[in-house]
Amino acid sequence: MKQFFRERRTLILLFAVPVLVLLVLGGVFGRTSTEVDRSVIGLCDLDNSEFSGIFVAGIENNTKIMDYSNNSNCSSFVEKEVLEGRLSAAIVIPAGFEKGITDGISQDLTVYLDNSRIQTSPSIEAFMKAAVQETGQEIGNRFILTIWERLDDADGQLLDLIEEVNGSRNRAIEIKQSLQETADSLNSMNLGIVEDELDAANSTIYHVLDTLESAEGNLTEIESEFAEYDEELEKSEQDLENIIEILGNASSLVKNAKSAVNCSNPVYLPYCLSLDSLNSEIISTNDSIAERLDAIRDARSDIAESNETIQDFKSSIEDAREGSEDAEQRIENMRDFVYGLVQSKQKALSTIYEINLSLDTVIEKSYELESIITDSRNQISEITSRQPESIVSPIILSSKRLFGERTFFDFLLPSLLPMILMFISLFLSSTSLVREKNMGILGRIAVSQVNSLKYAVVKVISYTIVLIPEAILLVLISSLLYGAFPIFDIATSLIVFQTLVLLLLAFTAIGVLIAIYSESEATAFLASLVVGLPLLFMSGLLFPFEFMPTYISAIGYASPLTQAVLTMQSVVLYHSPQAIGFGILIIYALVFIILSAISIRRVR
Amino acid sequence: MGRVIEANNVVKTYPGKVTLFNFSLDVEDGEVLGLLGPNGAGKSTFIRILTGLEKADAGEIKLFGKRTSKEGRKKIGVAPQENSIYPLLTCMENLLYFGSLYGVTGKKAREKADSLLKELGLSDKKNVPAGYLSGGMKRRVNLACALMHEPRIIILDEPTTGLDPATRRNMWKMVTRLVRETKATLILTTHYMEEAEALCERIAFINAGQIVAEGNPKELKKMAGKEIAKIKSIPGVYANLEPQLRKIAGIDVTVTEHGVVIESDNVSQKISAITKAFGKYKEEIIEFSVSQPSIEDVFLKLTGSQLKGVVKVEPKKRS
Repeated sequence: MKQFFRERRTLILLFAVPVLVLLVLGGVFGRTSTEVDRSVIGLCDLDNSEFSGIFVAGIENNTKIMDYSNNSNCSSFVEKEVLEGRLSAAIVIPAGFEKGITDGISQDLTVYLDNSRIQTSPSIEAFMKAAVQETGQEIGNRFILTIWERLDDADGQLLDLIEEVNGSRNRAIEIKQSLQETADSLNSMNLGIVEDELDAANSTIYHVLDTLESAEGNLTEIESEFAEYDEELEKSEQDLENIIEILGNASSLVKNAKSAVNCSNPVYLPYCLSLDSLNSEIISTNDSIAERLDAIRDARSDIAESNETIQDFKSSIEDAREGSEDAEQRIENMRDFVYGLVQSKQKALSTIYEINLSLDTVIEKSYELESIITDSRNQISEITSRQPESIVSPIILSSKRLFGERTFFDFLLPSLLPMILMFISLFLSSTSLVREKNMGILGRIAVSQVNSLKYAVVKVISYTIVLIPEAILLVLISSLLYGAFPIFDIATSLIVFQTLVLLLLAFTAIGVLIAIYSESEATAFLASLVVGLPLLFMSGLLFPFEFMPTYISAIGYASPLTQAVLTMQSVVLYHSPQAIGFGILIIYALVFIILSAISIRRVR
Repeated sequence: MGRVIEANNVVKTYPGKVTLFNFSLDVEDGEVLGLLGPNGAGKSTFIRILTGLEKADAGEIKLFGKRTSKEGRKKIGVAPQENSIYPLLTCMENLLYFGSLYGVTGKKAREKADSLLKELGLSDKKNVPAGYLSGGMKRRVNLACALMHEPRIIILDEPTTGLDPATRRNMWKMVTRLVRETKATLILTTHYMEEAEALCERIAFINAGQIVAEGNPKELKKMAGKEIAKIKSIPGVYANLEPQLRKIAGIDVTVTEHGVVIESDNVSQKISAITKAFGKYKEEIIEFSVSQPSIEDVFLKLTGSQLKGVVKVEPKKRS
C-alpha cells in the first residue's frame, strides 16, 4: 500500500478519473428524454399531395427537416446524404402515395437510417413509425368518415327496403286472404249436388224417354185406333154417302113420283103430301145423314187432325227423345265438366295451398329479412355511432411515470457507481500486481514461502482499502451533487457503501487473478477490459436483460457487477433493499481470492 | 561440513522442451558454487525448483539432508537477477518488508536492516526510495533483501548483470565479504566467467539441462589446457572449411557461432597452414587472436562444441 500511495500521479488519477467520469456522464445523460428534435432528417416528397403533406407536417413539428423534394433524383440524393453522414435519416415519399392509399393499396415509405448512430437511430425510427402511425390515423379517420357516409346512405336504402318488404308482406297477406277466400269458395262449391242433380236430370231424362216411348207407343196405339176409327168412319161415310145417294135417289124418286103425280090434284095431294113428307123425311134423313156424314167427315177430319197431332206428338216425342238424348249427352258432358271442375278445384286448392305455403314462407322470410335489415341497420348505426379515431386507434396508452420527470442520469447513477468502481478496481489491482510480478517481487515473495491464500487475501484487502476512499467520494458526489439519495439517510448510505465495498472486494480479487495470468500491464489492462466490458454490457445498464438471449441474461444476472447494480437500484431507486446481492458479492470475493491463491501457487 | 543441497536426476520439461534432464548436483555447506551455462541451459529452472517456484517432473532434491520443505526453503535467500524491490519504498522499508515475509520484524528487523545497509555501503541511502538509487545501489538493496533473514543458502542470480565493471568488482568484494562473514552457502549464476573465476570455489557448467563439467576453476582450465586461437572471418561459411582444417595435424577444431576455435599445443606453428586453408575457401580473416586457456574458453569450448557437435567431458567427481 505504501508503494501505491507514493505513486502520486496514479493516486491523483485514481481519484480524479472516476469523479471526472461521473461528472461527464452526469452532463451527457442529463436530459430527460431521447427526443429527436436535434436530429436533421432529409425529405424527398415525390407525391406532394394532401396525404404526404399530413405526414410531413407530423414530422416537421418534432424535428428538423431538410426538404430536398425539388432536387432532381432526390431519392438517391438523400440516401447519399445519409450514407455520407450529413443526415441522421431521410424519408422518401413515393409518387402516387395518395392515389395508392385512396385506391386501397398500402404505400411503402422508405426511411434511410444512419444506423451507425446506434443511440439516435432507434429513436428516429420510432419517431418515424409514430409519424407514420399518426398519418395513418388521420388518413384512416378520413377514410372511415367516408365509409360512415356511405353506410348512412346504405342505411337509408335499407329503410326503404324495409318498407318495401313490409309492402310485399302485406300484399302477400292480402293474396293469402284472397286465396283463402278462393279456397273457401272452392271448398263451398259442392259439385256433388251438381252431379246429383245431373244424375237426377239424367234419371228424369231416362224417365222422360221412357215416358215418351210409352207416349209414342200410346200414340201409335191411338193412331192405330184412330186408323181403325177412320176406317170405320170411312166405311160409315161411304155407307152414309151411299145412303145419301140412295136417299137422293129415293128423294128423286119421290120427287119423280110426285112429279109424276099432280100433286095439285088433291088426290095426289096426300100422296104428294106423303111424298113430300117422305121426301121431306128423306130429305131430312138425308140431311141428318148428311149431317152425320159431315160429322163423320168432321170426325175423320178430327181423326186426321188428331193423327196429324199424334204425328206431331210423335214428331215432338221424337224431337223430345232426340232432345233428351242430347240432354243426356249434355248431362254427360256436364258430368265430365263437373268432374273436370272437381279436378280443377282440387288442383286449384292444392295450388292455393302451395301458394299459401310459399306466401307463408315469403311472409316469414320477409319478417326475417326485416329483422336482418333491422339488425344491419342497428349494426350500421352502432358502427357509424363510433368515432373514427376509436377505430383507427382503439387503444390509447396512458403511461404514469411513477418516478416523475427525472433525468436519464438519475436512473443511471446507481448503476454507474458500481461500473466505475468495477473498472477502477480491476485496472488497479491487475496492473499493479502484474507490475510487481514482472519486477520479480511476486516471485520473491513466493520464495519466502508465505501462504498464498494469506497473500491473496492481503492483496485483495489492500487494494480494497486503497479504493474505499474512492467509493466514499463517489457516494458523496452522488448524494450531494446529484441528490441520488439523502446522505443523512444512514441506512441507505450504509447499504450503498457496503455494496460498493463488497463490489471492490470481488473485483480486486478478479483483478488479482487477472494479474497472475498476465504477462504485462498491457495484458492485464486488456484482460480487465475483456472481463469488465462484457460484464458491463450484461449488467442491464446499457442494454436491458429483456432483450438479451436467455442464457446471456442468466449469465448477466449472475455477474457480480449486476448484483451490485441490482442492489444499488433496489436501495437508491426502489427503496427496497435486496440482501441477496451482498451474499453473492461475498461469494464472488471469496471464490476469486481462493482461485487467486491457487493460481499464485501454480503460476509463480 | 555437510551437503546442503543434493539434487539427483532431476527432470523438468515444458511443452516441447526438456529443460532439465537427469540433472544431479551436490552442494556442500559453506561452498561457493558457480552455475554457468548459456541461456536456456537450465540454471534458472534448477533454482526455481530449488526455491519451490517450480516442481520437478522427476528426481529428488534434498535440502540440508531432508526432502525439500517450506521450512528448508525458508533458509534460502534469493537475490533475483532483476531488482525485485519496490521502487517507491525506501531502502529501509524494502528491507523491512522482505524481512517481514520471513518473520523478521520489529527491532530485530530494523537492526538487521541497518547492519546490512551499513555493510553494503547504503547507510546514507536508507530513507531514499529505492527507485531513485543507481543501478549498483539497487542491486545491493536487492541483495540485502535476500539476506534479511540470515539464510543458510544464498542464491545470487546474475548479481552483476548490467553493472559497469567498477561497480561489478565492488559488488564482488561485498559478496565475498558477506559470504565470509555469514559462512552461508552461495550459489551464483552468471554469464561472466571472470566473475565465476573470482568468486567461486567450484564451477558447474550446465548445458541442455545437464551438468557437462564441474570442478574448481583450475581443474577446469586444465580441461582446456592448450593454446586457443580464435579466428573470425567473412563470410563465415565453415561447412567446407571445417573438414579442411581438421586435416591439419595437431589441432582441434571447433566451429562456434562466433568463428572458429582452434586448440593446439603450439598454435603459432600451425598458423601458416590454418590461414592457407582459410584462403583456399575464400574466408577473409578479420580477427585472429591466440590466448592461453581461461574458464571462458572452457565454457566456449563446451557450449560451442555442444551446439555444433558432441563433446563429452566427464565431470570431475568430487571426493
